[in-house]
Amino acid sequence: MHFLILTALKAEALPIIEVFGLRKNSKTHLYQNNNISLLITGVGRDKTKERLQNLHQVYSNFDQTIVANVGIAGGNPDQTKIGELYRVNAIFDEKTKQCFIPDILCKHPLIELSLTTVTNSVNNNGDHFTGLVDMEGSVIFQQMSRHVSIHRLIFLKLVSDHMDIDDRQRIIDVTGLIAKQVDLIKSILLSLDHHVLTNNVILSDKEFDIIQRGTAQLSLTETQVHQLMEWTENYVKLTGNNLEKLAPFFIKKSNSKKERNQIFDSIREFFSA
Amino acid sequence: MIRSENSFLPDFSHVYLESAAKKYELTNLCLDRFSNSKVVEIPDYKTVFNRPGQDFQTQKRSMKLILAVKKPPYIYKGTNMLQDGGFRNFYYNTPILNCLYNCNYCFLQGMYPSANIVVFVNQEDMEKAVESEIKIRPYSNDPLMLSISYNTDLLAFENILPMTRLWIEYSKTQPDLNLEIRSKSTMFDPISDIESTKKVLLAWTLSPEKVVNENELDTPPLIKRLKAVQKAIKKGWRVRLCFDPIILYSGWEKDYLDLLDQIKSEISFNEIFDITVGVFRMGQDYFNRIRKTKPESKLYYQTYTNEAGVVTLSQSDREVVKVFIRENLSGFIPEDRIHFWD
Repeated sequence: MHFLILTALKAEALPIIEVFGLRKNSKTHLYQNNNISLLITGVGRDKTKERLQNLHQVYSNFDQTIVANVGIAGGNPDQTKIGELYRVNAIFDEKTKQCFIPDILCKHPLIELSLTTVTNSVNNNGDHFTGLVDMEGSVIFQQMSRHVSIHRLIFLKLVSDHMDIDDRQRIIDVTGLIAKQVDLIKSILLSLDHHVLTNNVILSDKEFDIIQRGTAQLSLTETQVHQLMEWTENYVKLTGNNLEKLAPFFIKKSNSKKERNQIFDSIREFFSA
Repeated sequence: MIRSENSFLPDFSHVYLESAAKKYELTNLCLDRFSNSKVVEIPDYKTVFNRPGQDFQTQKRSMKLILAVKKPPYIYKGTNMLQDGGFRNFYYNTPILNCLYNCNYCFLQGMYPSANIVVFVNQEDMEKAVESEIKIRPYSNDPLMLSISYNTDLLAFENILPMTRLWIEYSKTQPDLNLEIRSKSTMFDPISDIESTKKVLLAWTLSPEKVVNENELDTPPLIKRLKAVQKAIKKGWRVRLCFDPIILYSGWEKDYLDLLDQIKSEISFNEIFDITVGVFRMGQDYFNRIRKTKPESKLYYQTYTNEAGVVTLSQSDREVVKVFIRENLSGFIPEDRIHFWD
């Protein structure tokens, strides 16, 4: 399993970078170490949207990835404690009025609350909001649910204030707050390192590569590629055999449509048998 | 698939409550039943149920409950996938979407984007729709036969919410209404105190133990289903046996023969109302949707025919099944009481 951690601020990221031993890749701006990556999205919906829309250029392997948004949030004074970490079970977008629900399938030790994503920071009347308030959550859900199944979208929010601090006087030790909970954050993420949470695959990387090279060698049409993939998956699933016997079909490069179709028919016969 | 792996939350750890569903009695019953669950209020059940990016089989490991208010239509005409069993006014409705069980061959995993269970709490609206449909049924001399367990296993839910009971009691108030309640559950006991009625057909799907173990995940074993069938017959209920789908694999004949022998030894066929028989079949769209998720079950990697948008076994294989059933039930039940899907 791979983990992609998203934070809005560098101050939020620092303890996570340290605990996972991440290093910045100057080309991609991702902090990485083996299967853990971290991206700083910036604050607010516009910056976050822009960074995430371009994420696919520097990050792939979404089928095997858990995306975790970790960051500070304002908290309803009656429901939350400053410094406490919460798991988000519903996200309401104050601007668009949309509602997003992450799937919480695995056990975790946190209290769950809803999150409201706002456009401007909230400095007073914080008790008007239920649960938690942030400025990126709904955008992260919208953008990342295009890449990963929603049971692999995790929102962990640490309450930094009760939305009662004027921006001009706002001095919050964000890094210190996250640092106190970083071991808990780490253990929650690693507890999700479970193969059943990834997308199902039938062909191994090696088998997939054989088919890819074969289709290029034979210059198969898109429809033929699709059929070949389906037959191959059926074959592997039903027989449990590897694709060794398919190799001879891919040795020769096809020089004409006719030749390509003849080889393709032979492959069809092989699978039918 | 092992559903009860420790890392997963128990089923119904979360209840998603549609705001409009708050005022209904069934909602309160449900919330009382799951008082330890996390309740999340949502504006519309589709906010949860129809989300893009859901993984049906992963969700099956920790199903959530959604309480919602059904909007029209409340009742549907039977489809060609369903067997009408000779009832000419054949309809179905959907008091619950999705099932506690997880049968490999089930179309629900292709039909719905979510494995979560939706309970529609506005029972009265559904009942009124049935009454309206009864009035305009095409064959006015025949009753309206309503399948209430088409998109779920309603009886399996009886310990959670007594919806089968509600529908049976309701059917008794409607002279022209019959019900079919199809199940794989053993939940006869929760309804055993209800006085039996000929208006209700309790239908049990029976499969060889191998098929149960390999394809009917989370369902009760055959022997327990047979016990439920026996109890229902003893209490005077009309009982239908469903061999549907009959799954073909190497050695299927022996397993199904053993199944029929076991049934013959434990149940008198004279007391069975009728039998329905079918093979694996599924709408092309649903089949493709399931296949795309690369399911574990080998059923989705085999060769089928496509007949008018329905993926199913070849005509010759279907014929083999028919002959097999006819031969092996000959003398036990009149042929006109065996209904084949085809």
